[in-house]
Amino acid sequence: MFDKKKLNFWRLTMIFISITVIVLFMLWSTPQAKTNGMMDSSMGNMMKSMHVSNIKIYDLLSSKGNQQQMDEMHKHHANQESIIYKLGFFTTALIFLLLPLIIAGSILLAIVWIK
Amino acid sequence: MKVRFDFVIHWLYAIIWALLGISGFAMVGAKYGWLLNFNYGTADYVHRLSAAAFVLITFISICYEVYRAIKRDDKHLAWFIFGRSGYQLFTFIVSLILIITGALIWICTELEMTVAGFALLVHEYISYIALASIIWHIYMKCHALIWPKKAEAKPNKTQGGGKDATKTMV
Amino acid sequence: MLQKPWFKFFIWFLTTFFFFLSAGVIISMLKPGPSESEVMQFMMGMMSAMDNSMMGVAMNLESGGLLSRIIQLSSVIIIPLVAAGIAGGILIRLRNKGWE
Repeated sequence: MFDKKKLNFWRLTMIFISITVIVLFMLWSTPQAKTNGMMDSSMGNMMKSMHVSNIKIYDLLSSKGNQQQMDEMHKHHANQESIIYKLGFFTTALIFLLLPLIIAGSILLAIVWIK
Repeated sequence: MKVRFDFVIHWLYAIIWALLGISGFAMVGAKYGWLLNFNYGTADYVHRLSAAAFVLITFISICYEVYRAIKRDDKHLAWFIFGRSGYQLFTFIVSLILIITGALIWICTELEMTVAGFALLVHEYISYIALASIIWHIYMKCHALIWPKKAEAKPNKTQGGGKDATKTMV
Repeated sequence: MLQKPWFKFFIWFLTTFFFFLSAGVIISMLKPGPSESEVMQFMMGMMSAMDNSMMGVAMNLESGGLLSRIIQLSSVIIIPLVAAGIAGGILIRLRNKGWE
């Protein structure tokens, strides 16, 4: 197991495991401040408990948005003409133009690669 | 010096994954915020910009693979990020899932909350699995970490007297 | 290339970074629940991100006409592209099988 080639890996693992254990020990041994119950989870878990726990497959297929409401809410944001806006535009356009190509290409590759 | 295309793509992918990883995990929740000192704005910036680069590099790699399929090039590219078996296949599937769920999260204001929540959940758990798999990948390939023995570069300076050094001296 | 010292430094840096990342995630998962100040900082960070980062820009996507049209376009062209992908895949498969 402790092969000579893997020595560097085990060294790094040991260092980082010890760091983790020491940090966790110190964190748990300090007197704790008052914790917040709801935020005691990741965003995904929070979403799961709030929204996903009773999801049906139908919800994935229907995507009616509450567009007017969002439009009004963000109207005052709209005149943010800056580098941020341009970057946001550029990245969004890039991602959503390439996404269909990526999906189609991966389907093609899946068909070609399957034994 | 000739640098191979798949080699470059591999390391670009690794750099982009590292950026996406640090910024993404800093945004997961309040417990994770210390990773970037609770600077949610910067994390968001970095995550979105490198997501665009990630999509671009995935697209280029898929194009290259399709090109290879058309050219009937069956050669196994050892350094390439996508492939038809093993860790390459795993990377392929994980990248696709991350991109699709990430795109859903990107337009979360247009979707139902349930869809966005589902996408966020999948995105988060897949990224944990991917991070664990990166450590596994490093374990499998950690011979790359061994420092090169400089036997031929500096023949005068034979420090320590390793195997190669003695060989050159004799 | 892989034997160049600067590249070794780079690999070591990246490896250590990924180790740091996983150690950070493990610490974050197992550490005691977030304190009030952490939650406050996190929420404030999110608020400021909505104000002056790309998150806010992405959120008012509907009001920018061109972007929503691009997204609609991508959802429209996805079906023909998938069909083309399936057709192309079958074509390449048949051709590779036939010529061998």
